[in-house]
Amino acid sequence: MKIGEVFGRVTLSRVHPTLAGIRWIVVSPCSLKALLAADGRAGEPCAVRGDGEDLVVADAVGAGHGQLVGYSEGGEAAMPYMPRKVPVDAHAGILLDNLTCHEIT
Amino acid sequence: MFLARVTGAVVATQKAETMTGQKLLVVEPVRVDPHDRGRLVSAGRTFIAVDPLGAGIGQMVLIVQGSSARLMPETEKLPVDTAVIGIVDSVQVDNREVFSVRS
Amino acid sequence: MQFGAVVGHATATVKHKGFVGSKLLVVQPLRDTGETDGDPILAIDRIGSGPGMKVIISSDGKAARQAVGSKDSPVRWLVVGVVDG
Repeated sequence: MKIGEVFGRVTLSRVHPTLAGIRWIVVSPCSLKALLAADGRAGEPCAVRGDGEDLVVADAVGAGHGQLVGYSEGGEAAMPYMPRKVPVDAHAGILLDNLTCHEIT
Repeated sequence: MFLARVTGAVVATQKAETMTGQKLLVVEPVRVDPHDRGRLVSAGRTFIAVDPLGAGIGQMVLIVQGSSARLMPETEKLPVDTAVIGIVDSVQVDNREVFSVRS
Repeated sequence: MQFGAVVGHATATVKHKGFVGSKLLVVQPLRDTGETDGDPILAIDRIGSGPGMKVIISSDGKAARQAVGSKDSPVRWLVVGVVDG
């Protein structure tokens, strides 16, 4: 799982029936530099600003603006829905309350 | 998943047998402008996506990639890696609307 | 498997049931030269590793799911060893 900052939302007017009810968030992946820049406040809302290429993620944790999530990508992202087949390639399964980050020692 | 604008449709008469009857769209991924989060910009790439939803040219769509693209009854037997799974109504970034079908 | 530096830890109350009871570490994947390789990841630790340690991480999703005892967990990364020295 990668760590990402939630900074947006997507609403759909039409969706494949297998995906009905899913909430979609826009996430910016966080590099080590982005996590370190938050300087101990990484768990607080809006403290971390993602610096990677944004992606749309299926949100299973009710994440709000500025919060950090752990998200999985690829085939693994569809695992939580099994045995249902659900066509998602990114899934937020963790809402982070608190995160510490230090320089590599 | 990523957001993309539908820019065209592809016609390929000669194709894998399983692909017969499948609607294929040309889509151009968009991303939030890293320098100005208030707008969406082209990511400078092109993908061909199978479309079970019936999206039209000019619409903003949600695209799934990889093996997950085959997790639909319509696509499970197809040799595809990119599919349309939604038609976008609105996109909000930093609590501001940066895309809406109504504007 | 890859080298990684444990740079932090994370806590979460809202999470997939497949994570309940697991320690979550923030691990920066590394090359053998010590250069960073991609973005930090969240890894599950069951062997008592912690911040400041150089570890071996595995992206065997199946092993990770077994470690947390959940077949449908979105877990992927697992700390499988601490590098000596």
